[in-house]
Amino acid sequence: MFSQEALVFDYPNLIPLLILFALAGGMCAAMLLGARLLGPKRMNPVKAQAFECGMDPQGTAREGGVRTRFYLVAISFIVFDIEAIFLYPWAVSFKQLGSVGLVSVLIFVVALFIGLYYELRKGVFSWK
Amino acid sequence: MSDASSLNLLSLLPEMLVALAGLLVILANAVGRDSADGAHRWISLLGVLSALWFTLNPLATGAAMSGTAVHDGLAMAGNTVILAVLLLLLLGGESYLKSRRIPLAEYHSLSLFAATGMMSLVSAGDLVTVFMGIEVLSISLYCMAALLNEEEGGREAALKYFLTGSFASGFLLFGMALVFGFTGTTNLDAIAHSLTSLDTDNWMLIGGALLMLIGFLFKVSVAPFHNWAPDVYDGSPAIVTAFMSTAAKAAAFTGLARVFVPALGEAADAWIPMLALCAALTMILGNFSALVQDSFKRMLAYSGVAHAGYLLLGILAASSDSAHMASVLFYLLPYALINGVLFLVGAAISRQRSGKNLLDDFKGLAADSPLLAILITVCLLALAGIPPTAGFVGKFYLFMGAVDAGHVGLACLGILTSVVSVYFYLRVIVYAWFHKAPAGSAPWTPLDGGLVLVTGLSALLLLVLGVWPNLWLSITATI
Amino acid sequence: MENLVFILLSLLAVLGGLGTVSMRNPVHSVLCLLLTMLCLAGHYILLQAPFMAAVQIIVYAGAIIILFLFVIVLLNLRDDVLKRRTLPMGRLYYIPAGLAVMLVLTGLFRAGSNWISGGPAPEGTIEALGMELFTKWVYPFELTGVLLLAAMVGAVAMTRRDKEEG
Repeated sequence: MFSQEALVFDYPNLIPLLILFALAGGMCAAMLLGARLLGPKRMNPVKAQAFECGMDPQGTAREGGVRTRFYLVAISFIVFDIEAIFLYPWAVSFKQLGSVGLVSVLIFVVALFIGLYYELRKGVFSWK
Repeated sequence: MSDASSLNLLSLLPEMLVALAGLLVILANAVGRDSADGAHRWISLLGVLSALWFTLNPLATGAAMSGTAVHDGLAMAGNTVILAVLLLLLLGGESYLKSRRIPLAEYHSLSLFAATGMMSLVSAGDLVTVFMGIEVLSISLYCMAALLNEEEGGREAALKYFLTGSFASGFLLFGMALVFGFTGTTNLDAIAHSLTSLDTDNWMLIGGALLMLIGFLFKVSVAPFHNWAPDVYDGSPAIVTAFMSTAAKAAAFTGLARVFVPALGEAADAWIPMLALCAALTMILGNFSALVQDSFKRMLAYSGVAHAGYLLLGILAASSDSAHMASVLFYLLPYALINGVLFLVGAAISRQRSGKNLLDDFKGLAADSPLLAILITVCLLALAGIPPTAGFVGKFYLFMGAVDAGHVGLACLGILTSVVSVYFYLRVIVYAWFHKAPAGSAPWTPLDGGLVLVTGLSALLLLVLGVWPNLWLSITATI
Repeated sequence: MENLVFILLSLLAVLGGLGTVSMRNPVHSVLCLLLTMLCLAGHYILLQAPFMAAVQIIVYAGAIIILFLFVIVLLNLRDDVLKRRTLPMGRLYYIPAGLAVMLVLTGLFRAGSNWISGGPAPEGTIEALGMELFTKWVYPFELTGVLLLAAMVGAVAMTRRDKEEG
């Protein structure tokens, strides 16, 4: 099947990843900090106001409200995100798994595909 | 690792058929236009009937899917109860679904998915399957409870159900993690096996078992974890209440029995005191709270809590002698049928009066429709445990089992609280037979034929099982 | 070195958890939760399960957190609503939750360090995970499919009023 030795996991492999994380985080922090330290700040009430075509803004910015339809899209996104996650280990050991793996993944994918088709027909993804 | 023989796919046929039916309902709804509404019902009916057939006449039994599923007598009895409830709701719920404008495709597919979860829970051979089954059934039921979210109490019910339910799932999962940490396996047989050689007086094991127990007790609405049940049962659509108070409870009880009696049986000293305490509290709180309800739905909800207490007695008995498991399984069928019927009939009756599910709505029922009144009377008497109904036989077995296992006090408490419960069941009967309908109320229009049919069949079955309990006991006792 | 990283990650995770439940502003709560989830991903790496760490970041830190933020925007709560403590039953749940924490803590202290009888899991790599998932755990895996499908249908069913209006 597969040897246990091949599975031994070594940390040094992860050090480049760690450096990447550190660089990315450091870059964000540096830019935010730099802007705060170096940038000129001369605020006044008019300048801080939200721009609304020269009108005085009404209410708060949150008031626009988001329709529940967006939520359905978010749910679908998560569902297919999870599906993709499951497909990944299957794809990696595809050859060893053979037909049993193929069939079980097919059932899974087809079921979710029917769900997607159902959502499509229900107009979840259509904007008017 | 996996040869085809260890999959034993044929034993999973009932689950697969039910899930397939749910999938087809969605597909039919997506492909067809709204005119395909009738198709949902027929697909569901076909799926449930074929699943019931293969449950009672299995092509294969035993462990399946590398031990993550086990089809034994327990699974067979549990599946039968679940499918019987589904069948009852399919036959008797049509007019309710139409009158309340519940989206049919979504209702049918979600109930079939929930049933898939329940069936995989009762036939679980592994803690992972237990959890997945519970999640599938819970998520489906949360959505079903919200199907009438425009109505007063509907949203509250759905949200409460969701919050308490996911809270309980957290406990369950945490407990499973601890048990896995202690035994090193999630397979139920392997857990039982490893506990015979390990020292069970360990805090990790005890903590895990208790956390899992709390999770399960939440799901079956046992005091002090029952607070959600009345509100949720009251606010959800009646047909969904009929489903979750019966099939879901039966599945959760079977799951509880499966996890605790065989797998954690060696550690029984840890969880029996808590279970006994909860059983006592549940019988007292459930029955006395039901006394003061004015709403038929809430009264039934509290009576359901009380019955969870009686069923716990059966689990307690089974923990000392697993033959007593049969009494739990025996009682689940009449309990599920009665509650399934009563929630539906109560909604249909209340619709013609106040619409608020009040006990007063039953006043004068017998004068106009004596047949229905007789059927309801039989159901309520069975719930109260009065011979010659199956309710009496079921309670008798449960209390006898508790006495056998040495819980004499609990059995006495059960009998005493049952006597109390007769009052609130009789109240409905008295209203129906001896009270006049309030002046000016319209005469009753006959109920939907399907509903009367399933009520009649259930009442008949209650009487038949009350006289010949062996018809069902012989199935449940094969474990 | 490993112990140091472990302690650091655990501390941050607990801090994030405490922040999640104690912050008044729900957006801050979600950000604290994000911190906890990232720390958990770090724990998975320490446990030699890099795939789980990736999943943790992609699904939880990515998708789930986005969904939480989405809900918060959707609910569109005003500040005066947030100041009220809403869930009246909420406090009741402190009791079992506190009991659970106590149970675990006493258990840890009593049991010492040697309570896990299972050996280290060899399923850390993706190949091994795939082999296990699609042979031994196929059944729960397929149940996941049913679960996801039920969630999709349920979400559509619950929001259908919105569709009719729109």
